[in-house]
Amino acid sequence: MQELNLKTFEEKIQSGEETVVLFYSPTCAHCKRTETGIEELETEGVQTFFGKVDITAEPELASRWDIQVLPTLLFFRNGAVKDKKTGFTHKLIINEAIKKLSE
Amino acid sequence: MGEKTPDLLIIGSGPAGLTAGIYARRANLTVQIVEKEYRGTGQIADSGRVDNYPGLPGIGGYELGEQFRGHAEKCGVSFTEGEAGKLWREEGKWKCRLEDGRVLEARAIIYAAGTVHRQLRIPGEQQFFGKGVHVCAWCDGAFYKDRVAAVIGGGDSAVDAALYLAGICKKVLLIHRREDFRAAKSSLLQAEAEENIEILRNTVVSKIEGTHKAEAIWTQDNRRLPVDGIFVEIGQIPRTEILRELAVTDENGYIQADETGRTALKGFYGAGDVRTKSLRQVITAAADGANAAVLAAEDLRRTTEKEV
Repeated sequence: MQELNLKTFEEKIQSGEETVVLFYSPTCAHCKRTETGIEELETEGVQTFFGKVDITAEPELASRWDIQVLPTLLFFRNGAVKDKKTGFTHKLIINEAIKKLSE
Repeated sequence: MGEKTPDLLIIGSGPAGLTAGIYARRANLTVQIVEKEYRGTGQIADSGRVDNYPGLPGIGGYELGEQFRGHAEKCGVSFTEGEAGKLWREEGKWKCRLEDGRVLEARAIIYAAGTVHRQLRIPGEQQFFGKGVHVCAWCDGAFYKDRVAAVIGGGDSAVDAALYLAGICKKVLLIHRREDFRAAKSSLLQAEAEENIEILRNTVVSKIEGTHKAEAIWTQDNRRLPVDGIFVEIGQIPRTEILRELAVTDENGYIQADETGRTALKGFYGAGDVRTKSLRQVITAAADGANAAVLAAEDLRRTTEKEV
């Protein structure tokens, strides 16, 4: 997973590429478990771009995307949010949401 | 099919369940842990810092849970993801139906499903849940950097959350309905010494007010306290609804068992926060898991000897 900041986040979203972004904080256990699942998806060969945003380092991004609970996952396609999941999200649910992105 | 029935099924993958798994494997039992959440380690994961587990002062709750889990895996414990829906005994075996319909069986069960957060059950709590109302300071506290947060509760989890938030927030209100706190004296003294923690004793919260987000707390004596975030830490209730038919719980829902974990039912043991006891901590949960596994192994050995 690639750590994103204000600049790289905007670049990635505007590229239109299918992107999944995990908003997290370093002390959030449910974020770490969600991230572990995403890392497993990457290992399993899921091709989507996965990024993560530490809201303690990037509070402006959290506020801009109205993130109010951690973890939050945003699923982007063509620069727009197509899906949103909050709280711990199982990797199978993340994978299902990714499949729907391409439909 | 045709496989030998596993010796032990453990419901729950927190410190009690994982320790039971470790001890059961050391007693050479075949053991499977049913975990509700993917790679779960129970509520310990939500605790930012654990200061009372011997030998590991200040370890993160998530890290401690991961170490327990890694240890159990190393001992050969197997895990099944699923939520237990029903438990019953049939033809000398325990059966467990999971919510997805699968039925697991074992010669004995250790029930260590832990507890869930107690709710205030006041107007606004549900409406603003996740919109200013939270249950995990370590997860969501970062949203309230340089802002005002309130923690409601008087136990260890409330005071620990207030101390954690004091390092992030401009101000923290620690609101407790009673005069005396149940939390450890040392933590309370620390909270009292923090300049940006204001402790409100004998204060009952009656309503959470807001528009799109929670904005204020109303107290029973009609005070309006403007806050940005609210953390509800008023204790736990045991996750034992599915045991109702087994009649092993007390009036508060806790499994009636002494420190052996043995219940009135043959081959059914309770361990961790779900058991009747006075101190619910990681160390007592782990101790429960160890006791229950060793006693289950002993009871199973006696049963096998009788059968032979």
